[in-house]
Amino acid sequence: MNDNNLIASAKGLSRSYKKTVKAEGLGGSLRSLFRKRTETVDALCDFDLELRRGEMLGVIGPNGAGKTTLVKLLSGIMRPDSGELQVLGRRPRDRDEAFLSRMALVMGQKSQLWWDLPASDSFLLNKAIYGIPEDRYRRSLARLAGSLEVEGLLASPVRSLSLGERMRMEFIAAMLHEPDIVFLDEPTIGLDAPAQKRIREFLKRENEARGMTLVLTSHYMGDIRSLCPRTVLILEGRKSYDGSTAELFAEVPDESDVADAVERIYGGAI
Amino acid sequence: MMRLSACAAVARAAFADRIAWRGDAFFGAFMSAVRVALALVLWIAIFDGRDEVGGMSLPVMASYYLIAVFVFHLDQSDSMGERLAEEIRAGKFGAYLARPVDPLAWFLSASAGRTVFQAAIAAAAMLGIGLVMGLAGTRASSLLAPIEFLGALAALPILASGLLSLALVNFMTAVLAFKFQDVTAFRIVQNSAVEFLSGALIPIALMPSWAKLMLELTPFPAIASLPAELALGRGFDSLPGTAIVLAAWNLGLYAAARAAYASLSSRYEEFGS
Repeated sequence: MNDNNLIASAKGLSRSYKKTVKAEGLGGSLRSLFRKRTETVDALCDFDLELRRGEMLGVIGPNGAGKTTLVKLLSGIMRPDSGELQVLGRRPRDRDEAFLSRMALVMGQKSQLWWDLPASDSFLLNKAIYGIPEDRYRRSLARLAGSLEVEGLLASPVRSLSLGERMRMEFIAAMLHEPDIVFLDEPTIGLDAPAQKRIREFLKRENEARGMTLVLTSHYMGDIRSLCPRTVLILEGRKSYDGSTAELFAEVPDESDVADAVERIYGGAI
Repeated sequence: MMRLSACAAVARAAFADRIAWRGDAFFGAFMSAVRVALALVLWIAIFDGRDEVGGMSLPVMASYYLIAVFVFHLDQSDSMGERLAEEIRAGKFGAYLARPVDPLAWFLSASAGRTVFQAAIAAAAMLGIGLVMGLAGTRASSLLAPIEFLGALAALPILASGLLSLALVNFMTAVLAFKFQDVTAFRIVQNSAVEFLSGALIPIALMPSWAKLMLELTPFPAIASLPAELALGRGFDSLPGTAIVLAAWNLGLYAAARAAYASLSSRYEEFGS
């Protein structure tokens, strides 16, 4: 990566899954007991991407299109079958500390918080994991908790928080070490409109204040439109569009969800 | 890849997690006490009229059994293994992969934190039983043999090494979930074998000599029978040999756990999202 501003680049990235196939009913289950059938699904095919420092990229597409696979490959959770991938000058699959301590991943349906403990205990754990100095930790926690309006909830067990409150705690846990790049996989899923808006405003402020790069997958048009000047559309594992969000959705009303919007643009393509 | 301070933080969080539910903590202590009381009743019935069984008097046998059961239940890597396997199966393992965390170090640290909690609970239960027996008079308290201080001290590193071996075995069984998804069958077989091989099910003293010799070459007696024998002032002669066997096993198991994780984790696909 010669371009100093290039924070991530992917070339010819591909990843497939093996999926077990089982016929319906008891008979199908019994048959699969003796003969396992699998199908190969191409989750991402020959995918190219370049991402620059401070950019906010929206990744959209219908369910199963390959958005989450892309995020998992970029964050090093999964290894690509083929292709070249570099993020922060490293191969994510190697999971070296220099890479992991400069990135964060927030998945709307997965939690890194300890369920029965106050969120502040999970934050203390991340402080130790990332080796954050005490004063920087206190400063970051105060700033993030203030920005997300959860100062009064830090001592409450995570299990007693509402979904919106818990997601805000997830963001604090992910941002305490001030990552250079953040991968967000449907972070506003299931949240009501005010909670979504609060999180979008928070992400905007973080991007402006620290130049944080962001890759966001979402089914909500509001997330993509308000945060991401650039959008990548994935259909059946292949990149179908990479460019201006405003141009892509010029004809689409604000209140549409992404699936509706993509269907309007591509007709019967999905 | 994981700092010692991070390992300590994981152990603290695991301990705190166990005391989050006060009811569970008190019930755990109560059940430990019940287990101890039932064991006493059982051994009194077995000895009925006899002075010795397997070369041990009732107080020595009852004490041996109680200590063996006490230390055997200190292991918490089994429940941690169950949790880890479930996280892999449910597609939640990414939380470890997306942070600078070494899953094996995390597993061992969390198991250690939970073991400290379990030790505190079991010690409280033992103290309660001791108080009740003391109040019941000299006849009841004579049911137990005295603990040798030096033996108990020597038992601690042996027990710690044994628990480490078992934790490494549990980690390896858990990461089989990367390949097989459901590892319940492996865990059942492993737990039954460990319970037998450790002497927690049947005291090793009651086994034939060839079986004793075989067991001495495994790390499992270190998680139940050996600490019990040492605490009662027996088995000092075999201490150096045991330490060497345990060190060799731990080195081998550590290398095997690393290799198993490296080989199997590439299969991880984070299903369910």
